[in-house]
Amino acid sequence: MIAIARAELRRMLKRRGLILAGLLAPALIALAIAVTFEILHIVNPGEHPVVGGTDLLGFASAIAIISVIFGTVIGAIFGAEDVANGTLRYLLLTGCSRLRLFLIRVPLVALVAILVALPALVILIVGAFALPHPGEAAPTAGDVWQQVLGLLVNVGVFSLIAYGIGVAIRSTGGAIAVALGLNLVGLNLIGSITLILPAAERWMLDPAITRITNGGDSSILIALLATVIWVAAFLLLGLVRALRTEA
Amino acid sequence: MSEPIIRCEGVSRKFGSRAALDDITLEVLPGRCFGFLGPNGAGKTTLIRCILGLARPTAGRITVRGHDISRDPAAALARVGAIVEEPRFYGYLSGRQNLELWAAYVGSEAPRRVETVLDRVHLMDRAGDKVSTYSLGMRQRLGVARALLCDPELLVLDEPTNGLDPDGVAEFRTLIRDLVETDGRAVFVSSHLLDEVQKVCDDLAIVDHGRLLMSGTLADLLDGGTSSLRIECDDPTRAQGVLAALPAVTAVAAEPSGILAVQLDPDQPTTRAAINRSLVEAGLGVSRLEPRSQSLEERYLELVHEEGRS
Repeated sequence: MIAIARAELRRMLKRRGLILAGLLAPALIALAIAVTFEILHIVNPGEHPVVGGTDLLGFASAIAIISVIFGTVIGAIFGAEDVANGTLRYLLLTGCSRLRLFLIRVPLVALVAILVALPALVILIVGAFALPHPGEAAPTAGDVWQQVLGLLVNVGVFSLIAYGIGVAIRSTGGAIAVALGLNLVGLNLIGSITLILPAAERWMLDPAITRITNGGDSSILIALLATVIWVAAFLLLGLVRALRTEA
Repeated sequence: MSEPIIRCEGVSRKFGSRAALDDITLEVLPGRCFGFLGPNGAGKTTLIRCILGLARPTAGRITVRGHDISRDPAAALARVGAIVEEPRFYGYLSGRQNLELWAAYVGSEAPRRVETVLDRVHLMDRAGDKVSTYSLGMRQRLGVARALLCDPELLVLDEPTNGLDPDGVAEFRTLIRDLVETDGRAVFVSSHLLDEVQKVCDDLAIVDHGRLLMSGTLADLLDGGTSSLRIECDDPTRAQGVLAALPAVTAVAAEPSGILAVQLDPDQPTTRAAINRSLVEAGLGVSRLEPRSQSLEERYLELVHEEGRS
């Protein structure tokens, strides 16, 4: 099992175009944010103070959106790839069951998506600590933890949802479109149900993730449960299809 | 007689009301090359998918290596390698990396066999290149290498020479015979290329419209066809009349060279000696009388057309 997981992780990371794009895009944006603020400060120090501290760390949420998009694409591609590519039948011929094949990849997809997102976050955190910001409090460990947790949860959750969608849809292009559509529009549409049924808000995915990230709320257990249910529902959808798909 | 490595008993597979396979019964013996012959759309790939557990028959039973493929696929496929339709790989990995991935899934000794199987299919010099840069022939060979990772007792190859150039076909043929003769593996090859099957297979089955038309050794197939003789004598015109009067003869035709091509009724018992006697008793001098073997192509077309008529 460990040998398979290791080989699968190596395979996923060898998809260089996808991984490099996922690494570079958020990291470059993080760098661009820091550099832009630094230039603004040099040009007009009166208007723009030295960037750093919690101000810079605040941009982590913007970076998280880019990382979530890449995490979604990664999940959708690794979910749909084997059927779209025709490699599924050869994996099944090794005697590996469909269930095992599906489950092995669940943690790996989340891991790859998170690994790809981390460099951008590291740039922001290092920048937040390294660059001075007079008159503002330095970022605390709690600030950093909140950003790290927010990124981990968002990227992990959406990559797994996209994985379930990818396995269910079995076409990489279609899976990416549906997963991104759900992520960018669909969840907001579903969330509009709270206009009629305000009590449903606690079971909506975005608010649940926010509650988990912010912490300190007594409803965090329900938020965790809601997040697990959302992820499990999409993984179950994928699993049902995986068990029925003709290879 | 050894236990069959594949046994299909009354296997049927329906897609809606259409029967892709209709009551197929056949056996494949270990250490033999078995050709599964039929026109496009005859049901060859469907049976292969059922044999490999990738599709379920709607009726019948399939055992592979003595294990029921529906009930115990892992045991049945433990030492089975296959190429179904075409070999597919991760194009962004090299040939070696692809095999290392599959070896991890196969487990056991497979990771240690990667270099050996690459060498076996003559891919060592390109093993580090991405599969997306491989030609079809190279991908076919890499497909065989992957199939060999589990040290298979049985290799199932679905139309393995499709799209290969003549050199590639010849190379593949040599490889298949080598797997059978040197390694003692069983190879199940589906094809619609009669010449290929005749050159590499020991046994074969012919399928059309999902129905098995015959199954047996190549010699059985050729012997079971329409019997015919070629006769050379001193008066072909008179000999034609004598032969046409014999109940065992269904047709006589004179070739431009004067040699008579005589078709015999397979249901009428007769011997070459009896035909010769008839000609000699009619005062004809017979200088040559020989059975004419049907080619696989003639026999195949005869069987497929009989099936079409029925």
